[in-house]
Amino acid sequence: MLLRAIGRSAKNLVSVRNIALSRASLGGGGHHHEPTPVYTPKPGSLDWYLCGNNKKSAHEPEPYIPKGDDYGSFVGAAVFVGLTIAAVLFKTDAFKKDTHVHHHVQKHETSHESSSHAEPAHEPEPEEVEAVAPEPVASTSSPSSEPTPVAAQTSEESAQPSTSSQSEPAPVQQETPEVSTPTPEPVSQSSESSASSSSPSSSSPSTESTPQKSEEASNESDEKKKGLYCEYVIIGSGTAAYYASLAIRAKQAEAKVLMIGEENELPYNRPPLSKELWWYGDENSSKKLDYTALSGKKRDIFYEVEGFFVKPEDLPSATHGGVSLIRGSKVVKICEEDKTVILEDGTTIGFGKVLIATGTRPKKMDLFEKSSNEVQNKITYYHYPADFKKVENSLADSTVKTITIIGNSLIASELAYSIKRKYENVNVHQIFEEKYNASDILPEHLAKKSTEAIQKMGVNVHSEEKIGGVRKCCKNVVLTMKDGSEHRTDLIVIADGEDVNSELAEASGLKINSVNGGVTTDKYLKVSPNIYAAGSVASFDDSVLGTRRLSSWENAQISGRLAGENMVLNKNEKDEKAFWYQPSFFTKFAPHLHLNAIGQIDSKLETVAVYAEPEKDSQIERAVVFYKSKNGGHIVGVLLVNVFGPSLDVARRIIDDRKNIEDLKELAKLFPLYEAPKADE
Amino acid sequence: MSFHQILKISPTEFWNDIKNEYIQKLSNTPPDEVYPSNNPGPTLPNGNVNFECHCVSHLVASPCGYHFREAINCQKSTNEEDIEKGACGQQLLSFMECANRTQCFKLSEEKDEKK
Repeated sequence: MLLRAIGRSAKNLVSVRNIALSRASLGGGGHHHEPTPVYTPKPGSLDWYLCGNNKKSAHEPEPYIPKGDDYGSFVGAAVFVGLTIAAVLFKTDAFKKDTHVHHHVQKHETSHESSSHAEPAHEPEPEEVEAVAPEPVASTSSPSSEPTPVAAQTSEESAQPSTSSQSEPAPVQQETPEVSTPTPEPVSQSSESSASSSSPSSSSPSTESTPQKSEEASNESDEKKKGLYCEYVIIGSGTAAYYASLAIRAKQAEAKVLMIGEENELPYNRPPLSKELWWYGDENSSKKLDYTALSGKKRDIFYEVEGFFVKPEDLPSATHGGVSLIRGSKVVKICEEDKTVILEDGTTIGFGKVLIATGTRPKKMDLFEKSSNEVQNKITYYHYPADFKKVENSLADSTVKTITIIGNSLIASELAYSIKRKYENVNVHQIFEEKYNASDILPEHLAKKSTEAIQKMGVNVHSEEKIGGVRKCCKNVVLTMKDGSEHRTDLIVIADGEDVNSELAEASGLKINSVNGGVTTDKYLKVSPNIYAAGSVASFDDSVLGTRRLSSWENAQISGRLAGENMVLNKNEKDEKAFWYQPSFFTKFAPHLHLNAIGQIDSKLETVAVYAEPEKDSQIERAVVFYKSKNGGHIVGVLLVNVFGPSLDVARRIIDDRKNIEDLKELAKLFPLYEAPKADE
Repeated sequence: MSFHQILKISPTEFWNDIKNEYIQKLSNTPPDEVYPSNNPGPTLPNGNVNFECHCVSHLVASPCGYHFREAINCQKSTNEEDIEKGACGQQLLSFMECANRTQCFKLSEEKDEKK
């Protein structure tokens, strides 16, 4: 299938597949705790004795509340596993007819019976298994010893260790660590893939857990020691942190990862806070932070459920590793020499590799910070789930009839649009000092169009306005403009820039980029041999576009994964991967203005916009905007307006190739600015 | 030349031949070959399962990641006939039991309330 040629032969090749869906359901960004006084040590002011001397006992873990009765569905591996489930269903029927197996079963009948007696104790759990697989669980809970003899068909020797584990009093479920150790043996004997059997043994030296038996014996004393150490420590619990933890576990099968997040929530997706939760949410959205995706499925903003995370105190003894999460805890310093991190409460945790993924927080406005408590109650800086809840609740119960958003950023603009879209009868105002929405990013003609579009839907945009003062008056808050005019509102929402959460790095003596405020890393996202940084906190070396810091969700995902990967590669003294895959971002803050962009999207650069004629019926405009480098004029950024298809990859290709194209109208032909004429077949 | 140029392209212009060699080459490239994916995909060059595929990220990262790997590796190295007869059942069962015990995966429909 070719990008254009087929279009010309009238087949609609580039299906206008709605990238909006995949982008919208991905979302993302930085993260931070609710506005509390930020601990900002001056470099060098922190007592250095904290490094290496603190012997406080392990952190008090969060109580783990196991969820109720329902069985988790297999996300993602449904295809892999679904067939196997069907196979297991067949297996349980076919199995009983298998004489070979019966022979083995009779031998170990007593042990089989004892384990089957023990099994019913666990049946409440299997029973609650959904229709997905009731048979295998219920019927195999008793013949649980049988599968291993089946596997032993392939090799007699392995029958011994497998079934001997069955004869132990405790049923399969509790003894999973021990049962699973023999199981690799049949696997490796029946197949060439030594991956599974080698992975437990090869990675155990690389984990902190000592061999199983001795580990369980010395579990208690180890726990105390290991509670203060984790091979991979991630500071932050947002998108970059989450994806880093996935990448580490993917590359190192038995890895133990400890995420330490300041926020109290489980790791979550940020963009829906100003997009999907408003667009597709309902009256319950603020409770569960969920919405109904276009596919019809209910989705919430959390990446994982609580059960995904191993309890911190269980991590040291987790045979096959896992990801642990400490919530509501702030790391105040990294001691590079001792390879420890220090928490606010004084706890010290040792690490092998550490990742800084602390993200950003909303920029505060002096005027509001200095205002009275009464006024401050009417102000919300928008960034956290709690902010969404506050704004949504007050709009839902109509305590807020007039809302004013301050700033012309993408978040501010998205909020103005999203709130007006959901609450048509609420007066939505947006106030900013600049001339148009998103003027940092969009060339003026496009910024103007977008502002007009948002005004057309009913948002009152007050551009080029400066706020001089604020006061409480009756039930509202009154903003006094510099020109003397007053603006009365029920609630003020501020989304006017961000500050990087780099204080930790600063306190630890790490380098901060003076231009973008991020923690300086090289092209491998490495700060120093054992310290990495990813997400919106990181100022990294992009070999094509130079030193950058990006706050988009996709960057958090991409850099999080890359940093995690490199941490493992580095540990194993393998070659690390340099940053290469350009993240994109998506924004929508006006009807019919769907923006996707890659690269340096900076309105201070020279731009060339190629517009198609508006669509006859809908009047929707499509365009592609090329951002040109200051040095050389090659394309360093591409912004797509209502353009989909494989365009982002085309943009990545163009940016990578650093092409300097004279005729940008020609280059625009690579993007579906026009739909292919209908086929006559 | 203004700092922010606006060009308009008509349908006729758009569908006209591309003269620039580089652009022409790109336009003839299949969409999935224009740029490599960040996702390495489910299969390694040697045919083995690639557990670094983004498609299984959260499964291998979960507390049941080990059991998942075991189950998949077993499946991959066993022919369909044997799977139907029951091979790899233990591995799958271990995985399911782990997932049930830890409740590590999201529910498909109703969810319990989260913080």
